[in-house]
Amino acid sequence: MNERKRKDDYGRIIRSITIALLVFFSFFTFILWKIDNPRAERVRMAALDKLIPNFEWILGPLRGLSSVSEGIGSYSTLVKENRELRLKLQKMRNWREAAIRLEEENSQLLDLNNVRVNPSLKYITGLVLSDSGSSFRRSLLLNIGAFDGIKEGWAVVDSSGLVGRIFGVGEKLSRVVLLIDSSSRIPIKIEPSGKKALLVGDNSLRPPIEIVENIEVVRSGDRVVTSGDGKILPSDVLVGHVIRDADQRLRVKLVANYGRLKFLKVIKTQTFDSSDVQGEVIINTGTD
Amino acid sequence: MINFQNIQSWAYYIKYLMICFIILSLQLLPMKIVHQEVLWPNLIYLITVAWLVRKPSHLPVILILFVHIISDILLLMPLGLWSALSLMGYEFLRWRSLSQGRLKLGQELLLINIVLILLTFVQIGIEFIFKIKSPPIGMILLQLTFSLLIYPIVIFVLHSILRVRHSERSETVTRVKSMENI
Repeated sequence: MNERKRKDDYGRIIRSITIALLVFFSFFTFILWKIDNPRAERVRMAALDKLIPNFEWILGPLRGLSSVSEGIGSYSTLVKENRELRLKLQKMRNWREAAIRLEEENSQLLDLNNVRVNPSLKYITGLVLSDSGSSFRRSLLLNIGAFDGIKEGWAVVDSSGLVGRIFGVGEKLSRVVLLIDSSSRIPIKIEPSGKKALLVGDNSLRPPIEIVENIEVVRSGDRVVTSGDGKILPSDVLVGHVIRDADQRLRVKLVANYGRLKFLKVIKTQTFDSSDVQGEVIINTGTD
Repeated sequence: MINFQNIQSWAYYIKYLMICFIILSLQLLPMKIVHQEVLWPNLIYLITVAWLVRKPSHLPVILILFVHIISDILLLMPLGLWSALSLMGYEFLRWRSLSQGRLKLGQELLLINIVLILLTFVQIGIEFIFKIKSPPIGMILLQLTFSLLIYPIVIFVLHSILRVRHSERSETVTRVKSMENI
C-alpha cells in the first residue's frame, strides 16, 4: 500500500513537471512569435503549406456542398435578377457607345502628346482554398504561392475590383488580407476630386475612409481607386464608391463581390522589394 | 501491452482528434465572409473542457497541446498564447474533476464559465502588454457569450452522439491508476 502511494506521488510529480514544461514551451513559442514576427509568420505559412492539403479531403466536399446550396438559393432570385439586368443592359448600350467614342478620342490625344502608357498589368489567377477561420481576422488562402511567382504585398482583385493584398507567401499557397480586415490600410484616391486618403479596415463590409482635410469636396457616389502611393499597389485599381453612413462618416461600398470570392487575380507589380536584395550589391537597378 | 483499457483509450484519442479536425475544417470553409454577424464560438475549448470533466483520464495533455498549436497556426492567432493559457485552465479542470469527483451540471457550467472568462481576460491583458492588436472588445465579449450559451449543446453532442460520459463510481480506482499514463 505504501509502495503504491509512493508510485502515485512519483507519477504526480512527473505529470506536473511535464505540464509546466508544455505551458512554458507554448509561452516560449509566443515570445518567439512576438520577437521575430516576420520569420514566425513565414514559418506559419510553411506549416500551412503542409497542413492545408491534409484538410483537402474534407474541405473539398464541404465546398461543393456549399456551392450547391448557393446555387439553389440563386435560382429563386434569378427571375428578378434577369429583369433588372435587361433594364441595365438598355442603359449600358448607350454607355458603351459613349465609352468607345471616348476611348478613340483618348488614344488620339495620348498619341498626340507622346504619352508612354504603363506596361500592361499581368495577372495570376488563383483559387480560394479557405478563409482565416476566425471571425477577427479577415483573410483568405489562395492556392498559388512563391512557386507561381507570387510576392509579398501584391494587389488581389476579383472580376470587378480590389479585394485585398498578399500578406504571407508559402511555397504553394499565399494569404490574402482582405480590405475589411482591421489591419488593412490602403492608400486611395477619390475621383473626380483627386483627394488622397486612407482606407482603413474595421471588420465591417463598408470600411471607413480616413481623410485629413477638405471633406467637403468628397461626395457620396464618388469613385474610389488605389492611389499607388508607397509604390506597393498599382494605381487606379477600382476599389468602390463613397457612401455616407448614419453618423455622416465617409465609407466605401466595395465593388468586389465579397459574398462570392472564388477565383481571384493577383496583379503582378514591378516593385522594388528591399527584402529581395539581402545585402547583395546592386549593380544596375535601372531597366530603361 | 495491449489490453482492453488501452484500446478504449486509443478510441477516445482518435475520437477527440477527429472532432477537432472537423471543427477546424468547418471554420476554414471559405463562405462566411459576408455573414460576419456569425461569430464562431470557441468550440475547441468547449469540447476539450466538456471532455475533461467527463473523462479526465482519457485525454492526454500532449494531444490537447497538439490540437491547440495546429489551431493557432490555422486560425492566424498569436502562436502559442492561447495554447499556453488554455492548457493551464484545462489542467486545473482535470485536477478538479479527478480529485473532487463528479461535478453537478450547475457546478460544471459555473466553473467552465469562470475559467473561460478569466482566460479570455488574461489573454486580452497579455495582448495589451505586448502591444498586439486585439480585436474590438465588443466582438470578444459577444463571442464569449455565444460560447457560454452553446455549451449545453456541446455537452449533449458529447454525451449522446460521441458517447463521452461520466465514468461509473467503480472506475474511480482505475482513474487514479490510469493517471500515470497521461
